[in-house]
Amino acid sequence: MTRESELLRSTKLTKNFGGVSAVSDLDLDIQAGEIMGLIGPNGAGKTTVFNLITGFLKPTRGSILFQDREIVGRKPHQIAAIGIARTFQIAKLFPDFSVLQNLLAASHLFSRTNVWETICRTHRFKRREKQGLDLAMELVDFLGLTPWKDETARTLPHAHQKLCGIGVALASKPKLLLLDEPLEGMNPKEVDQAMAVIKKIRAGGVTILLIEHNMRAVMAGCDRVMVLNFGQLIAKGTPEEVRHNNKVIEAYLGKGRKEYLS
Amino acid sequence: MTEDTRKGFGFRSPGIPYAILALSGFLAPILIRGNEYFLHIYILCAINVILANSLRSIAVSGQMSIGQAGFMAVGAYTSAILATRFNVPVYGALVMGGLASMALAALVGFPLSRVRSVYFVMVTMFMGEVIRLLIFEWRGMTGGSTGMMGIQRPEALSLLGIVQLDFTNRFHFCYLAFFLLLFTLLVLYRIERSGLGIAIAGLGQEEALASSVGIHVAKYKVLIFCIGSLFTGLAGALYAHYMTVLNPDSFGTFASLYILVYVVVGGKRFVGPLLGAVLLTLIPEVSSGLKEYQPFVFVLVLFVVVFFVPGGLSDLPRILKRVASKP
Repeated sequence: MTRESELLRSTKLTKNFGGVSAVSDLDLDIQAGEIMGLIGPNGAGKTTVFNLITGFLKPTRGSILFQDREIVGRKPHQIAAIGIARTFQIAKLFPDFSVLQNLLAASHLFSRTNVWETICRTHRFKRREKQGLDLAMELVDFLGLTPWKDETARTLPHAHQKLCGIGVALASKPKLLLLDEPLEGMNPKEVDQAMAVIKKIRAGGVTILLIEHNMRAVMAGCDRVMVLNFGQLIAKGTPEEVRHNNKVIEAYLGKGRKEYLS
Repeated sequence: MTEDTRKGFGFRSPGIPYAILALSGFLAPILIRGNEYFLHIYILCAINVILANSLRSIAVSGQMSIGQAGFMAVGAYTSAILATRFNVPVYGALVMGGLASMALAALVGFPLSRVRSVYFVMVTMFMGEVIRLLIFEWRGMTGGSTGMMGIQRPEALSLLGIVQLDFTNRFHFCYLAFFLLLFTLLVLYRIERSGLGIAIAGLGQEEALASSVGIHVAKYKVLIFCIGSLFTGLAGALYAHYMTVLNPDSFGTFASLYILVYVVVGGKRFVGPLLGAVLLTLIPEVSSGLKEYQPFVFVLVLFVVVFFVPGGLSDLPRILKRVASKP
Protein backbone atom coordinates (compact mmCIF):
# COMPACT_ATOMS: atom_id res chain seq x y z
CA MET A 1 0.00 0.00 0.00
CA THR A 2 1.36 3.37 -0.96
CA ARG A 3 1.35 6.31 1.33
CA GLU A 4 -1.68 8.48 1.14
CA SER A 5 0.21 11.55 0.05
CA GLU A 6 1.71 9.87 -3.00
CA LEU A 7 0.02 11.17 -6.13
CA LEU A 8 1.95 9.52 -8.92
CA ARG A 9 4.43 6.70 -9.09
CA SER A 10 6.12 5.14 -12.06
CA THR A 11 7.98 1.87 -11.92
CA LYS A 12 10.52 0.68 -14.47
CA LEU A 13 9.09 3.14 -16.96
CA THR A 14 10.83 2.62 -20.28
CA LYS A 15 10.41 4.04 -23.75
CA ASN A 16 12.49 2.89 -26.68
CA PHE A 17 12.44 4.56 -30.06
CA GLY A 18 13.81 1.93 -32.37
CA GLY A 19 17.08 0.98 -30.71
CA VAL A 20 17.40 4.19 -28.76
CA SER A 21 16.25 4.28 -25.19
CA ALA A 22 14.67 7.67 -24.53
CA VAL A 23 13.67 6.74 -21.00
CA SER A 24 14.87 3.63 -19.23
CA ASP A 25 13.73 2.02 -16.00
CA LEU A 26 12.59 5.27 -14.52
CA ASP A 27 11.12 5.10 -11.02
CA LEU A 28 9.64 8.39 -10.03
CA ASP A 29 7.29 9.39 -7.27
CA ILE A 30 5.46 12.64 -6.84
CA GLN A 31 4.00 13.59 -3.49
CA ALA A 32 0.74 15.48 -3.35
CA GLY A 33 1.25 19.19 -2.93
CA GLU A 34 4.88 19.45 -3.95
CA ILE A 35 6.64 21.18 -6.78
CA MET A 36 8.93 18.58 -8.27
CA GLY A 37 11.58 19.76 -10.69
CA LEU A 38 12.62 17.58 -13.62
CA ILE A 39 15.90 18.72 -15.08
CA GLY A 40 18.58 17.36 -17.31
CA PRO A 41 20.59 18.25 -20.42
CA ASN A 42 18.87 18.51 -23.81
CA GLY A 43 17.73 15.13 -25.06
CA ALA A 44 17.74 13.59 -21.59
CA GLY A 45 14.15 12.39 -22.07
CA LYS A 46 12.27 14.91 -19.96
CA THR A 47 9.55 15.69 -22.48
CA THR A 48 9.26 11.97 -23.25
CA VAL A 49 8.41 11.43 -19.58
CA PHE A 50 5.61 14.00 -19.95
CA ASN A 51 4.34 12.32 -23.07
CA LEU A 52 4.32 8.96 -21.32
CA ILE A 53 2.44 10.26 -18.27
CA THR A 54 -0.17 12.08 -20.36
CA GLY A 55 -0.77 9.22 -22.76
CA PHE A 56 0.65 10.87 -25.86
CA LEU A 57 3.20 8.05 -25.99
CA LYS A 58 2.81 4.45 -24.93
CA PRO A 59 5.64 3.16 -22.79
CA THR A 60 7.61 0.17 -24.05
CA ARG A 61 7.20 -1.26 -20.57
CA GLY A 62 6.66 -0.17 -17.01
CA SER A 63 3.72 1.19 -15.13
CA ILE A 64 2.40 4.55 -14.02
CA LEU A 65 0.05 4.72 -11.06
CA PHE A 66 -1.93 7.88 -10.51
CA GLN A 67 -3.71 7.82 -7.16
CA ASP A 68 -3.09 4.07 -7.16
CA ARG A 69 -4.76 3.60 -10.53
CA GLU A 70 -2.87 2.28 -13.52
CA ILE A 71 -2.97 4.90 -16.30
CA VAL A 72 -0.75 3.29 -18.91
CA GLY A 73 -2.80 2.62 -22.00
CA ARG A 74 -5.30 5.40 -21.44
CA LYS A 75 -5.83 8.07 -24.09
CA PRO A 76 -4.77 11.69 -23.52
CA HIS A 77 -8.34 12.93 -23.14
CA GLN A 78 -9.07 10.23 -20.56
CA ILE A 79 -5.97 11.14 -18.60
CA ALA A 80 -7.01 14.79 -18.66
CA ALA A 81 -10.37 13.73 -17.26
CA ILE A 82 -8.85 11.96 -14.25
CA GLY A 83 -6.86 15.04 -13.32
CA ILE A 84 -3.51 15.29 -15.10
CA ALA A 85 -2.92 18.34 -17.28
CA ARG A 86 0.14 19.47 -19.17
CA THR A 87 1.57 22.36 -21.07
CA PHE A 88 3.68 22.06 -24.18
CA GLN A 89 7.26 23.12 -24.69
CA ILE A 90 6.42 25.40 -27.57
CA ALA A 91 3.50 27.38 -26.17
CA LYS A 92 0.60 25.58 -27.78
CA LEU A 93 -2.63 27.52 -27.89
CA PHE A 94 -5.70 27.56 -30.08
CA PRO A 95 -4.21 30.30 -32.26
CA ASP A 96 -7.40 31.71 -33.80
CA PHE A 97 -9.22 31.99 -30.49
CA SER A 98 -9.06 34.87 -28.06
CA VAL A 99 -7.49 34.25 -24.66
CA LEU A 100 -10.93 33.84 -23.16
CA GLN A 101 -12.00 31.41 -25.86
CA ASN A 102 -8.84 29.38 -25.32
CA LEU A 103 -9.82 28.98 -21.70
CA LEU A 104 -13.44 28.27 -22.61
CA ALA A 105 -12.39 25.53 -25.00
CA ALA A 106 -10.08 24.17 -22.32
CA SER A 107 -12.89 24.11 -19.75
CA HIS A 108 -14.53 21.49 -21.96
CA LEU A 109 -14.69 18.89 -19.17
CA PHE A 110 -16.97 21.22 -17.23
CA SER A 111 -18.89 23.01 -19.97
CA ARG A 112 -19.55 20.20 -22.45
CA THR A 113 -23.11 19.35 -23.42
CA ASN A 114 -24.46 16.84 -25.89
CA VAL A 115 -25.79 17.77 -29.33
CA TRP A 116 -29.40 17.76 -28.29
CA GLU A 117 -28.88 20.05 -25.30
CA THR A 118 -26.77 22.31 -27.48
CA ILE A 119 -29.35 22.67 -30.23
CA CYS A 120 -32.29 23.12 -27.87
CA ARG A 121 -30.42 25.43 -25.50
CA THR A 122 -31.75 23.55 -22.49
CA HIS A 123 -31.45 24.70 -18.90
CA ARG A 124 -28.55 22.35 -18.45
CA PHE A 125 -26.83 23.93 -21.44
CA LYS A 126 -27.21 27.38 -19.93
CA ARG A 127 -25.93 26.19 -16.59
CA ARG A 128 -22.91 24.51 -18.15
CA GLU A 129 -22.26 27.52 -20.38
CA LYS A 130 -22.17 29.70 -17.30
CA GLN A 131 -19.91 27.24 -15.47
CA GLY A 132 -17.43 27.30 -18.33
CA LEU A 133 -17.52 31.07 -18.55
CA ASP A 134 -17.10 31.54 -14.80
CA LEU A 135 -14.14 29.18 -14.79
CA ALA A 136 -12.56 30.96 -17.77
CA MET A 137 -13.06 34.42 -16.27
CA GLU A 138 -11.65 33.25 -12.97
CA LEU A 139 -8.55 31.91 -14.73
CA VAL A 140 -8.07 35.06 -16.82
CA ASP A 141 -8.14 37.00 -13.59
CA PHE A 142 -5.87 34.53 -11.78
CA LEU A 143 -3.22 34.77 -14.50
CA GLY A 144 -3.45 38.54 -14.69
CA LEU A 145 -4.47 38.37 -18.34
CA THR A 146 -7.69 40.34 -18.00
CA PRO A 147 -6.54 43.23 -20.23
CA TRP A 148 -5.70 40.73 -22.99
CA LYS A 149 -8.70 38.47 -22.69
CA ASP A 150 -10.18 39.41 -26.07
CA GLU A 151 -6.83 39.39 -27.87
CA THR A 152 -6.27 36.67 -30.45
CA ALA A 153 -3.84 34.12 -29.05
CA ARG A 154 -1.46 34.21 -32.02
CA THR A 155 -0.84 37.95 -31.65
CA LEU A 156 -0.14 37.76 -27.93
CA PRO A 157 3.37 38.55 -26.59
CA HIS A 158 5.42 35.43 -25.90
CA ALA A 159 5.29 35.60 -22.10
CA HIS A 160 1.51 36.03 -22.17
CA GLN A 161 1.21 33.08 -24.53
CA LYS A 162 3.13 30.99 -22.02
CA LEU A 163 0.84 32.11 -19.20
CA CYS A 164 -2.23 31.47 -21.31
CA GLY A 165 -0.87 27.99 -22.01
CA ILE A 166 -0.70 27.34 -18.28
CA GLY A 167 -4.26 28.66 -17.98
CA VAL A 168 -5.43 26.26 -20.66
CA ALA A 169 -3.95 23.36 -18.69
CA LEU A 170 -5.49 24.65 -15.46
CA ALA A 171 -8.93 24.88 -17.03
CA SER A 172 -9.22 21.11 -16.85
CA LYS A 173 -8.90 21.49 -13.04
CA PRO A 174 -5.98 19.08 -12.68
CA LYS A 175 -4.65 17.50 -9.51
CA LEU A 176 -1.27 17.15 -11.17
CA LEU A 177 0.05 19.78 -13.54
CA LEU A 178 3.00 19.06 -15.82
CA LEU A 179 4.76 22.20 -16.98
CA ASP A 180 7.16 21.85 -19.89
CA GLU A 181 9.63 24.75 -19.78
CA PRO A 182 7.11 27.39 -18.72
CA LEU A 183 9.85 30.01 -18.31
CA GLU A 184 11.53 29.49 -21.66
CA GLY A 185 12.18 32.75 -23.51
CA MET A 186 11.15 34.99 -20.61
CA ASN A 187 13.15 37.90 -19.22
CA PRO A 188 14.05 37.87 -15.49
CA LYS A 189 11.08 39.99 -14.51
CA GLU A 190 8.68 37.74 -16.40
CA VAL A 191 10.35 34.70 -14.85
CA ASP A 192 9.63 36.04 -11.37
CA GLN A 193 6.01 36.74 -12.27
CA ALA A 194 5.55 33.29 -13.79
CA MET A 195 7.15 31.58 -10.78
CA ALA A 196 4.81 33.52 -8.54
CA VAL A 197 1.89 32.18 -10.58
CA ILE A 198 3.26 28.64 -10.35
CA LYS A 199 3.54 28.93 -6.58
CA LYS A 200 0.03 30.32 -6.41
CA ILE A 201 -1.19 27.30 -8.36
CA ARG A 202 0.50 24.98 -5.86
CA ALA A 203 -1.02 26.96 -2.99
CA GLY A 204 -4.37 26.19 -4.60
CA GLY A 205 -3.72 22.49 -4.02
CA VAL A 206 -2.29 21.47 -7.39
CA THR A 207 0.81 19.30 -7.47
CA ILE A 208 3.37 20.35 -10.05
CA LEU A 209 5.99 18.54 -12.08
CA LEU A 210 8.20 21.14 -13.68
CA ILE A 211 10.64 20.78 -16.57
CA GLU A 212 12.83 23.83 -16.70
CA HIS A 213 16.29 24.90 -17.80
CA ASN A 214 16.30 28.05 -15.71
CA MET A 215 18.38 26.76 -12.79
CA ARG A 216 17.90 29.78 -10.59
CA ALA A 217 14.13 29.32 -10.74
CA VAL A 218 14.31 25.55 -10.29
CA MET A 219 16.60 25.78 -7.29
CA ALA A 220 14.51 28.49 -5.69
CA GLY A 221 11.08 27.18 -6.52
CA CYS A 222 11.13 23.38 -6.26
CA ASP A 223 10.73 21.26 -3.18
CA ARG A 224 12.52 18.35 -4.79
CA VAL A 225 14.41 17.89 -8.02
CA MET A 226 15.02 14.88 -10.23
CA VAL A 227 17.83 14.84 -12.75
CA LEU A 228 17.66 12.81 -15.95
CA ASN A 229 20.57 12.06 -18.23
CA PHE A 230 20.32 9.82 -21.28
CA GLY A 231 16.94 8.63 -20.09
CA GLN A 232 18.13 7.57 -16.68
CA LEU A 233 17.55 9.05 -13.29
CA ILE A 234 20.93 10.13 -11.97
CA ALA A 235 19.90 12.10 -8.91
CA LYS A 236 16.88 12.90 -6.82
CA GLY A 237 16.55 15.07 -3.73
CA THR A 238 16.24 18.59 -2.46
CA PRO A 239 17.68 21.32 -4.70
CA GLU A 240 20.56 21.63 -2.24
CA GLU A 241 21.45 17.92 -2.47
CA VAL A 242 21.16 17.84 -6.22
CA ARG A 243 23.24 20.94 -6.68
CA HIS A 244 26.22 19.31 -5.00
CA ASN A 245 25.79 15.91 -6.60
CA ASN A 246 28.88 15.10 -8.62
CA LYS A 247 27.01 13.04 -11.21
CA VAL A 248 24.76 16.01 -11.92
CA ILE A 249 27.64 18.39 -12.27
CA GLU A 250 29.35 15.98 -14.65
CA ALA A 251 26.21 15.54 -16.72
CA TYR A 252 25.85 19.24 -17.21
CA LEU A 253 29.41 20.46 -17.42
CA GLY A 254 31.87 17.66 -17.45
CA LYS A 255 34.11 17.20 -14.44
CA GLY A 256 35.19 19.88 -12.02
CA ARG A 257 33.06 22.93 -12.83
CA LYS A 258 30.73 23.54 -9.93
CA GLU A 259 30.15 27.24 -10.33
CA TYR A 260 27.42 26.90 -13.00
CA LEU A 261 24.97 25.33 -10.62
CA SER A 262 25.73 27.45 -7.62
CA MET B 1 -16.97 44.49 -26.37
CA THR B 2 -16.89 43.41 -22.75
CA GLU B 3 -20.60 42.77 -22.82
CA ASP B 4 -20.29 40.62 -25.92
CA THR B 5 -17.99 38.03 -24.39
CA ARG B 6 -20.34 37.35 -21.49
CA LYS B 7 -22.42 35.04 -23.61
CA GLY B 8 -22.01 32.87 -26.66
CA PHE B 9 -18.55 31.54 -25.84
CA GLY B 10 -16.60 34.65 -26.55
CA PHE B 11 -17.92 35.17 -30.07
CA ARG B 12 -19.44 38.48 -30.99
CA SER B 13 -23.18 38.16 -31.22
CA PRO B 14 -24.59 38.85 -34.67
CA GLY B 15 -27.89 40.53 -33.78
CA ILE B 16 -29.18 43.00 -36.32
CA PRO B 17 -27.15 42.06 -39.44
CA TYR B 18 -28.39 38.48 -39.21
CA ALA B 19 -31.97 39.65 -38.70
CA ILE B 20 -31.68 41.77 -41.84
CA LEU B 21 -30.27 38.82 -43.79
CA ALA B 22 -33.09 36.57 -42.62
CA LEU B 23 -35.71 39.17 -43.46
CA SER B 24 -34.34 39.77 -46.95
CA GLY B 25 -34.25 36.02 -47.47
CA PHE B 26 -37.90 35.93 -46.54
CA LEU B 27 -38.93 38.92 -48.68
CA ALA B 28 -36.84 38.16 -51.76
CA PRO B 29 -39.25 35.64 -53.32
CA ILE B 30 -42.09 38.17 -53.02
CA LEU B 31 -40.07 40.80 -54.85
CA ILE B 32 -39.10 38.47 -57.68
CA ARG B 33 -42.40 36.62 -57.76
CA GLY B 34 -43.19 37.45 -61.37
CA ASN B 35 -39.96 35.98 -62.70
CA GLU B 36 -39.83 32.17 -62.72
CA TYR B 37 -36.14 32.23 -63.58
CA PHE B 38 -35.21 34.39 -60.60
CA LEU B 39 -37.24 32.13 -58.35
CA HIS B 40 -35.30 29.20 -59.75
CA ILE B 41 -32.01 30.91 -58.87
CA TYR B 42 -33.31 31.71 -55.41
CA ILE B 43 -33.92 28.02 -54.76
CA LEU B 44 -30.50 27.05 -56.10
CA CYS B 45 -28.94 29.68 -53.85
CA ALA B 46 -30.73 28.28 -50.81
CA ILE B 47 -29.56 24.74 -51.61
CA ASN B 48 -26.00 25.89 -52.21
CA VAL B 49 -25.93 27.84 -48.96
CA ILE B 50 -27.03 24.74 -47.05
CA LEU B 51 -24.26 22.77 -48.77
CA ALA B 52 -21.63 25.43 -48.14
CA ASN B 53 -22.51 25.96 -44.50
CA SER B 54 -22.53 22.23 -43.87
CA LEU B 55 -19.09 21.91 -45.39
CA ARG B 56 -17.84 24.83 -43.33
CA SER B 57 -19.06 23.24 -40.12
CA ILE B 58 -17.06 20.13 -41.02
CA ALA B 59 -14.02 22.05 -42.25
CA VAL B 60 -13.80 23.92 -38.94
CA SER B 61 -12.75 20.63 -37.33
CA GLY B 62 -9.81 20.44 -39.72
CA GLN B 63 -11.56 18.04 -42.08
CA MET B 64 -11.55 19.68 -45.50
CA SER B 65 -13.80 17.31 -47.38
CA ILE B 66 -14.07 17.42 -51.15
CA GLY B 67 -16.41 14.51 -51.38
CA GLN B 68 -19.49 16.39 -50.25
CA ALA B 69 -21.23 16.04 -53.60
CA GLY B 70 -21.15 12.32 -52.91
CA PHE B 71 -23.05 12.81 -49.65
CA MET B 72 -25.42 15.14 -51.47
CA ALA B 73 -26.00 12.39 -54.04
CA VAL B 74 -26.71 9.85 -51.30
CA GLY B 75 -29.35 12.19 -49.89
CA ALA B 76 -30.80 12.98 -53.30
CA TYR B 77 -31.03 9.40 -54.53
CA THR B 78 -32.24 7.95 -51.24
CA SER B 79 -35.04 10.46 -51.09
CA ALA B 80 -35.93 10.14 -54.77
CA ILE B 81 -35.93 6.34 -54.70
CA LEU B 82 -38.04 6.20 -51.54
CA ALA B 83 -40.57 8.64 -52.96
CA THR B 84 -40.84 7.26 -56.49
CA ARG B 85 -40.40 3.53 -55.93
CA PHE B 86 -41.66 2.98 -52.41
CA ASN B 87 -44.35 5.65 -52.23
CA VAL B 88 -42.91 7.22 -49.12
CA PRO B 89 -44.38 10.71 -48.56
CA VAL B 90 -41.88 13.28 -49.81
CA TYR B 91 -41.38 14.90 -46.41
CA GLY B 92 -40.46 11.55 -44.92
CA ALA B 93 -38.21 10.86 -47.90
CA LEU B 94 -36.42 14.20 -47.43
CA VAL B 95 -35.64 13.33 -43.82
CA MET B 96 -34.55 9.82 -44.81
CA GLY B 97 -32.25 11.34 -47.43
CA GLY B 98 -30.52 13.41 -44.79
CA LEU B 99 -30.32 10.45 -42.42
CA ALA B 100 -28.87 8.17 -45.11
CA SER B 101 -26.12 10.67 -45.75
CA MET B 102 -25.50 10.94 -42.04
CA ALA B 103 -25.38 7.16 -41.68
CA LEU B 104 -22.74 6.98 -44.39
CA ALA B 105 -20.76 9.70 -42.60
CA ALA B 106 -20.97 7.73 -39.36
CA LEU B 107 -19.69 4.68 -41.18
CA VAL B 108 -16.67 6.31 -42.81
CA GLY B 109 -16.20 9.03 -40.19
CA PHE B 110 -14.04 7.08 -37.78
CA PRO B 111 -11.45 5.85 -40.28
CA LEU B 112 -11.51 9.34 -41.81
CA SER B 113 -10.90 10.97 -38.42
CA ARG B 114 -7.50 9.28 -38.38
CA VAL B 115 -6.50 10.75 -41.73
CA ARG B 116 -5.14 14.27 -41.85
CA SER B 117 -4.52 17.23 -44.14
CA VAL B 118 -3.91 16.43 -47.79
CA TYR B 119 -4.58 12.72 -47.24
CA PHE B 120 -8.02 13.53 -45.91
CA VAL B 121 -8.66 15.64 -49.01
CA MET B 122 -7.61 12.82 -51.32
CA VAL B 123 -9.58 10.14 -49.52
CA THR B 124 -12.79 12.20 -49.46
CA MET B 125 -12.37 13.08 -53.11
CA PHE B 126 -12.14 9.44 -54.15
CA MET B 127 -14.98 8.58 -51.82
CA GLY B 128 -17.21 11.10 -53.55
CA GLU B 129 -16.24 9.66 -56.88
CA VAL B 130 -16.87 6.09 -55.70
CA ILE B 131 -20.38 7.05 -54.58
CA ARG B 132 -21.07 8.55 -57.98
CA LEU B 133 -19.83 5.42 -59.73
CA LEU B 134 -21.95 3.19 -57.50
CA ILE B 135 -25.02 5.21 -58.42
CA PHE B 136 -23.99 4.96 -62.03
CA GLU B 137 -23.69 1.17 -61.83
CA TRP B 138 -26.77 0.41 -59.74
CA ARG B 139 -29.06 0.90 -62.72
CA GLY B 140 -32.02 -1.02 -61.36
CA MET B 141 -32.59 1.50 -58.62
CA THR B 142 -30.96 4.68 -59.80
CA GLY B 143 -31.47 4.54 -63.54
CA GLY B 144 -27.71 4.60 -64.09
CA SER B 145 -26.51 7.11 -66.64
CA THR B 146 -30.03 7.92 -67.82
CA GLY B 147 -30.80 9.08 -64.30
CA MET B 148 -34.17 9.34 -62.63
CA MET B 149 -37.17 11.24 -63.85
CA GLY B 150 -40.57 12.18 -62.54
CA ILE B 151 -39.52 12.67 -58.96
CA GLN B 152 -42.43 14.19 -57.09
CA ARG B 153 -42.47 17.65 -55.64
CA PRO B 154 -43.42 17.67 -51.95
CA GLU B 155 -47.13 17.24 -51.24
CA ALA B 156 -49.26 20.34 -50.80
CA LEU B 157 -49.35 21.71 -47.28
CA SER B 158 -51.95 23.64 -45.43
CA LEU B 159 -50.62 25.81 -42.61
CA LEU B 160 -53.37 26.10 -39.98
CA GLY B 161 -55.86 26.24 -42.81
CA ILE B 162 -54.80 29.81 -43.59
CA VAL B 163 -51.95 29.44 -46.06
CA GLN B 164 -52.15 26.82 -48.78
CA LEU B 165 -48.73 25.81 -50.04
CA ASP B 166 -48.52 24.03 -53.38
CA PHE B 167 -44.95 23.07 -54.12
CA THR B 168 -45.45 22.53 -57.81
CA ASN B 169 -45.49 26.30 -57.73
CA ARG B 170 -41.96 27.70 -57.70
CA PHE B 171 -42.86 30.65 -55.53
CA HIS B 172 -44.21 28.34 -52.85
CA PHE B 173 -41.21 26.04 -53.19
CA CYS B 174 -38.98 29.01 -52.39
CA TYR B 175 -40.44 29.04 -48.90
CA LEU B 176 -39.79 25.37 -48.36
CA ALA B 177 -36.17 25.99 -49.33
CA PHE B 178 -36.05 29.09 -47.16
CA PHE B 179 -37.44 27.22 -44.18
CA LEU B 180 -34.95 24.35 -44.52
CA LEU B 181 -32.11 26.83 -44.96
CA LEU B 182 -33.13 28.74 -41.86
CA PHE B 183 -33.43 25.50 -39.90
CA THR B 184 -29.97 24.37 -41.05
CA LEU B 185 -28.33 27.66 -40.19
CA LEU B 186 -30.01 27.81 -36.80
CA VAL B 187 -28.81 24.33 -35.85
CA LEU B 188 -25.28 24.87 -37.17
CA TYR B 189 -25.08 28.27 -35.52
CA ARG B 190 -26.16 26.96 -32.16
CA ILE B 191 -23.65 24.15 -32.38
CA GLU B 192 -20.87 26.55 -33.28
CA ARG B 193 -21.64 28.93 -30.42
CA SER B 194 -21.45 26.36 -27.67
CA GLY B 195 -19.05 24.35 -25.62
CA LEU B 196 -19.41 21.65 -28.23
CA GLY B 197 -18.63 24.03 -31.09
CA ILE B 198 -15.67 25.62 -29.40
CA ALA B 199 -14.23 22.19 -28.66
CA ILE B 200 -14.66 21.22 -32.31
CA ALA B 201 -13.08 24.42 -33.61
CA GLY B 202 -10.32 24.04 -31.04
CA LEU B 203 -9.38 20.55 -32.10
CA GLY B 204 -9.34 21.80 -35.68
CA GLN B 205 -6.63 24.26 -34.68
CA GLU B 206 -4.49 22.17 -32.28
CA GLU B 207 -5.39 18.54 -31.99
CA ALA B 208 -2.81 17.61 -29.34
CA LEU B 209 -3.71 20.54 -27.14
CA ALA B 210 -7.41 19.72 -27.45
CA SER B 211 -6.89 16.14 -26.34
CA SER B 212 -4.68 17.31 -23.46
CA VAL B 213 -7.61 19.21 -21.96
CA GLY B 214 -9.96 16.28 -22.23
CA ILE B 215 -11.54 16.78 -25.65
CA HIS B 216 -12.27 13.45 -27.31
CA VAL B 217 -10.85 14.35 -30.71
CA ALA B 218 -12.00 11.38 -32.78
CA LYS B 219 -15.51 11.44 -31.34
CA TYR B 220 -16.06 15.11 -32.10
CA LYS B 221 -14.57 14.84 -35.57
CA VAL B 222 -17.01 12.06 -36.40
CA LEU B 223 -19.87 13.92 -34.74
CA ILE B 224 -19.46 17.11 -36.74
CA PHE B 225 -18.86 15.12 -39.91
CA CYS B 226 -22.21 13.39 -39.29
CA ILE B 227 -24.06 16.62 -38.57
CA GLY B 228 -22.60 18.36 -41.62
CA SER B 229 -23.41 15.38 -43.80
CA LEU B 230 -26.98 15.24 -42.48
CA PHE B 231 -27.61 18.71 -43.89
CA THR B 232 -25.62 17.97 -47.03
CA GLY B 233 -27.89 14.99 -47.63
CA LEU B 234 -30.95 17.08 -46.87
CA ALA B 235 -29.83 19.66 -49.42
CA GLY B 236 -29.37 16.85 -51.93
CA ALA B 237 -32.86 15.54 -51.24
CA LEU B 238 -34.32 19.01 -51.61
CA TYR B 239 -32.47 19.34 -54.89
CA ALA B 240 -33.92 16.04 -56.12
CA HIS B 241 -37.50 17.01 -55.32
CA TYR B 242 -37.04 20.45 -56.79
CA MET B 243 -35.41 19.46 -60.07
CA THR B 244 -37.62 16.32 -60.31
CA VAL B 245 -34.85 14.74 -62.39
CA LEU B 246 -31.51 13.34 -61.24
CA ASN B 247 -28.34 12.41 -63.04
CA PRO B 248 -25.13 11.09 -61.48
CA ASP B 249 -23.16 13.62 -63.49
CA SER B 250 -24.45 16.40 -61.26
CA PHE B 251 -22.51 14.96 -58.33
CA GLY B 252 -18.96 14.73 -59.61
CA THR B 253 -15.79 16.05 -58.03
CA PHE B 254 -16.38 19.43 -59.65
CA ALA B 255 -19.63 19.80 -57.74
CA SER B 256 -17.72 19.10 -54.53
CA LEU B 257 -15.07 21.62 -55.49
CA TYR B 258 -17.70 24.29 -56.12
CA ILE B 259 -18.98 23.85 -52.56
CA LEU B 260 -15.43 24.24 -51.31
CA VAL B 261 -14.97 27.41 -53.37
CA TYR B 262 -18.16 28.89 -51.85
CA VAL B 263 -16.62 28.38 -48.43
CA VAL B 264 -13.20 29.74 -49.34
CA VAL B 265 -14.58 32.80 -51.13
CA GLY B 266 -17.01 33.41 -48.29
CA GLY B 267 -14.43 33.33 -45.55
CA LYS B 268 -14.00 32.03 -42.07
CA ARG B 269 -16.96 33.56 -40.31
CA PHE B 270 -20.39 31.98 -40.06
CA VAL B 271 -21.97 34.20 -42.75
CA GLY B 272 -19.07 33.45 -45.09
CA PRO B 273 -20.49 30.43 -46.91
CA LEU B 274 -23.80 32.25 -47.34
CA LEU B 275 -22.11 35.19 -49.04
CA GLY B 276 -19.84 32.98 -51.12
CA ALA B 277 -22.58 30.61 -52.25
CA VAL B 278 -25.03 33.37 -53.15
CA LEU B 279 -22.45 35.41 -55.04
CA LEU B 280 -21.06 32.45 -56.96
CA THR B 281 -24.53 31.14 -57.79
CA LEU B 282 -25.67 34.54 -59.00
CA ILE B 283 -22.71 35.53 -61.18
CA PRO B 284 -22.84 32.75 -63.77
CA GLU B 285 -26.64 32.61 -63.75
CA VAL B 286 -27.42 36.27 -64.05
CA SER B 287 -24.86 36.95 -66.74
CA SER B 288 -26.31 34.16 -68.83
CA GLY B 289 -23.54 34.25 -71.42
CA LEU B 290 -21.03 33.16 -68.81
CA LYS B 291 -22.73 29.97 -67.82
CA GLU B 292 -20.55 27.71 -69.94
CA TYR B 293 -17.48 29.39 -68.51
CA GLN B 294 -18.42 28.68 -64.91
CA PRO B 295 -15.06 27.18 -63.88
CA PHE B 296 -13.36 30.22 -65.40
CA VAL B 297 -15.58 32.61 -63.45
CA PHE B 298 -14.88 30.68 -60.27
CA VAL B 299 -11.13 30.88 -60.76
CA LEU B 300 -11.37 34.61 -61.43
CA VAL B 301 -13.48 35.29 -58.34
CA LEU B 302 -11.20 33.08 -56.30
CA PHE B 303 -8.13 35.02 -57.41
CA VAL B 304 -9.72 38.39 -56.76
CA VAL B 305 -10.79 37.33 -53.30
CA VAL B 306 -7.49 35.71 -52.37
CA PHE B 307 -5.55 38.80 -53.45
CA PHE B 308 -7.79 41.58 -52.19
CA VAL B 309 -9.81 40.06 -49.35
CA PRO B 310 -7.69 37.17 -48.12
CA GLY B 311 -10.04 36.61 -45.19
CA GLY B 312 -12.94 36.00 -47.59
CA LEU B 313 -16.07 38.05 -48.25
CA SER B 314 -17.20 37.87 -44.63
CA ASP B 315 -14.05 39.80 -43.77
CA LEU B 316 -15.05 42.73 -46.04
CA PRO B 317 -16.76 44.84 -43.35
CA ARG B 318 -13.65 44.73 -41.20
CA ILE B 319 -11.37 45.66 -44.10
CA LEU B 320 -13.67 48.48 -45.23
CA LYS B 321 -13.76 49.78 -41.68
CA ARG B 322 -10.00 49.81 -41.52
CA VAL B 323 -9.71 51.56 -44.88
CA ALA B 324 -12.31 54.14 -43.87
CA SER B 325 -10.63 54.89 -40.57
CA LYS B 326 -7.34 55.70 -42.29
CA PRO B 327 -6.82 59.45 -42.62
